Amino acid sequence: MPDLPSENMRRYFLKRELKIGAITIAIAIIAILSDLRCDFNPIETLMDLPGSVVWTFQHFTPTLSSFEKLPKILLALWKTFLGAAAAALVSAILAYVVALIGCRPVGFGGVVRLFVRGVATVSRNIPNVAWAFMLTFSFGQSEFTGFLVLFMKSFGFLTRMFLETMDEISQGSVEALYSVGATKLQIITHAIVPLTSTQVISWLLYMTETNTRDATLVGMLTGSGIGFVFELYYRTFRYDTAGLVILCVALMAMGCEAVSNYVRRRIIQADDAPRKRIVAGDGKIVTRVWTKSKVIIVSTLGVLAVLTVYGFAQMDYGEVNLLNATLGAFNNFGVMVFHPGTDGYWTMGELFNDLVLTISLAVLTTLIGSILALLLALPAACNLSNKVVSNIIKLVFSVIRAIPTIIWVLIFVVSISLGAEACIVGMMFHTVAFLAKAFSESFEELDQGSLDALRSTGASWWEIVTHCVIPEKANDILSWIFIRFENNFVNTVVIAALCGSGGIGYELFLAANFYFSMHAVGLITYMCLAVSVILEVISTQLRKRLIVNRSA
Amino acid sequence: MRDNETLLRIDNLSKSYDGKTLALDNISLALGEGEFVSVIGSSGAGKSTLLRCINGLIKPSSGSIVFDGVEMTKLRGKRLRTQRRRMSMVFQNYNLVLRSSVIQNVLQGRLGYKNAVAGALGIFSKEDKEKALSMLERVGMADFAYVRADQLSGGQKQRVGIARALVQEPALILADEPIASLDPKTSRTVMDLLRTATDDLGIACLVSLHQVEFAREYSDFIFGIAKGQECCKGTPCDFTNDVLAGVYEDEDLLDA
Repeated sequence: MPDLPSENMRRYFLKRELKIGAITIAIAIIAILSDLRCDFNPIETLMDLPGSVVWTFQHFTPTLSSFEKLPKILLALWKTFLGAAAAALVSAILAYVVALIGCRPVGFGGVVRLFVRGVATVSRNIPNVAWAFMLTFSFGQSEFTGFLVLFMKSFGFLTRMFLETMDEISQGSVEALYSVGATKLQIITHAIVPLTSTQVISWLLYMTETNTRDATLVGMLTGSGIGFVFELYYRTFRYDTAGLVILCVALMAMGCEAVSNYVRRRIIQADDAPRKRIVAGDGKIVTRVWTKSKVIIVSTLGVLAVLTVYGFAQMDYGEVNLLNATLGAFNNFGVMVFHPGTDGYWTMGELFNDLVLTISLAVLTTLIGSILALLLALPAACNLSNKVVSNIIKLVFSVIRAIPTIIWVLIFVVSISLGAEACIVGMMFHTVAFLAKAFSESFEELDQGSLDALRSTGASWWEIVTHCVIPEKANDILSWIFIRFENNFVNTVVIAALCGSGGIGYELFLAANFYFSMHAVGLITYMCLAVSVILEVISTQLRKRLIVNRSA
Repeated sequence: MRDNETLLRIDNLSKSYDGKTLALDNISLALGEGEFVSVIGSSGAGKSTLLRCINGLIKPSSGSIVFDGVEMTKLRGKRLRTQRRRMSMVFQNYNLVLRSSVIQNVLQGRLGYKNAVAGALGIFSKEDKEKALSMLERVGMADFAYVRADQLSGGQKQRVGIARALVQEPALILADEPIASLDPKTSRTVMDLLRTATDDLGIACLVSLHQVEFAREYSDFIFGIAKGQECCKGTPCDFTNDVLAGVYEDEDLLDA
């Protein structure tokens, strides 16, 4: 008679091991295929790395003479910041109105809602690159074009976020106001605005921060702002001044992040309300009180509004007639959307081939980056290591993230060589920093009880990691990896082109800047969008299957 | 059915959510001015649906609801809003705007009386503010006027909810399981407030409840619903334990 309980147990473990084995092999195969496609040699890269780091420090460190350029650099930086803040605020205002129209509590349902979500998705998923090319085509190279590019992306992103926030508010509060006999407008100001204000300001600040980070690349593509200044010094081999620019950009990004974090923390905190009598001395009843969080929200909006107005006042609008350019832009957009085609410059086969190259680069970056990030996230989580180590690591990541990816890549282009190595190594910095931060924050949310339970059995640190931390957080880890992968793909499109690795981004450049073919730009954008959508679908499906069911 | 002026008359009200099962099946009910009526029944019997059909939050499948002489089921837009302000609702989950202060929440009860723009901008007249203050004093929450609603306990939130309902100066208060989430002592406070609203201010109350003892103690009339259908009705004296067993079916009520 077979011993049934142990037979079942054997089968259970076997099944588990096979599953893990299958996943590992699948990942390995994908990695190897990608590697072959983009001709990336990890060993060689590893050996080149120390030398390139030394070279970088030697050449990119700002010298005394480079400091003479500081005023010019700071001016460009300031203008870039104004454009980024303006894009965030203007897009937030429009996004809020549009989201109200499509939301569940007070919006018009059905077709209108679908339309709103569609506009947001399109706006959000079209890569900055494509917007940059399309808009530069119509508006020329100017700061205003840079603003528009950032606006497009921000608008799509914020509309979606605001829509989600509005849909998630307590339906009961809205129901109560309907039953009081309030109009939709009254419900908006009395329920929706108070209930969404914290989230909205949070997203607004996040968008400002993100825009300042993206502004460098956008500046390079639209010939404006600090991105243009960097490229100027970089391409004329004045690496010391370029290094100074990098320093300024990093400081601005870190400053924005610090302010944003501080404000977001402050408005969430509960305030002590004055418990005073509500009837004032002169018999007037006071119904509005200024709490600290209200003050902060209003002043944040006020500051951003002032910056926006000032930004628009002194922005360079280029040499084009704005009205004509806007009409032209709509026309171009129409061509892109409704008449995609290769225009005879390439075959579909060539385009697909290069698309695969871009995907392979993204796969390798994400794969290697995830593993490194996982390893680094462990000491970065303050509940798994000590506070000092954790803070140092977080600071280093903060600094790494403060330097835009494109600059990392361009540094490695000159210190290693053009090609896949520079692309992958450069992109890895942000991938690792972003994922390590996400993972470590996730680890820090671990229930102390589970960790204590394992510690009290005498388990070692590594055993705690493999038996508690990883399994508990597997969902989060996978989620973040996929989010980053989608992000990396979009980045790789443009970055691979800029560092000589080719890929579909290179063809996009040619189509926009040499052949002036909006048809081809449209086709390539569709292909990238298709990949984004497929990635999103795959990731949702995989997460559904691999995810541990958390029903209580 | 009753001597006083009939304020609310429901005739043959039915509601089906999916076209097959009936959440409400041919309910008929009448309520006079200044009358306190409880609706009792087990969870899922249809009490919430009934209350929400009355003020139009849910559209009934068939039947008529006549409130103050006006047929509610046909109303839309402005006319619906005008009728709605004559009846206010108290919810099981309080349904306050948690990020706003207590006084702001109570003032929102006056929104039905304001024009669209003034209301949207939150411009309330002196009378509105005085009424709000007096209602807050009535429920004993005047000292909490500036406190943000999410910092209150459940009982305090419900009292603010009642203040909001009272400031509407309604003819009828619909209370959807107002004490379901509260402890016995706080529940008593809330029921007292509703009863004094009827006794002192002449406001009719239609209250749905689980707690049979409270129904017996506070109501002028009790209406029992089981599985969407009327199962029994009468004064509290008529509601003996045998009758109640019918409402709650096999459940053992004698230990309640």
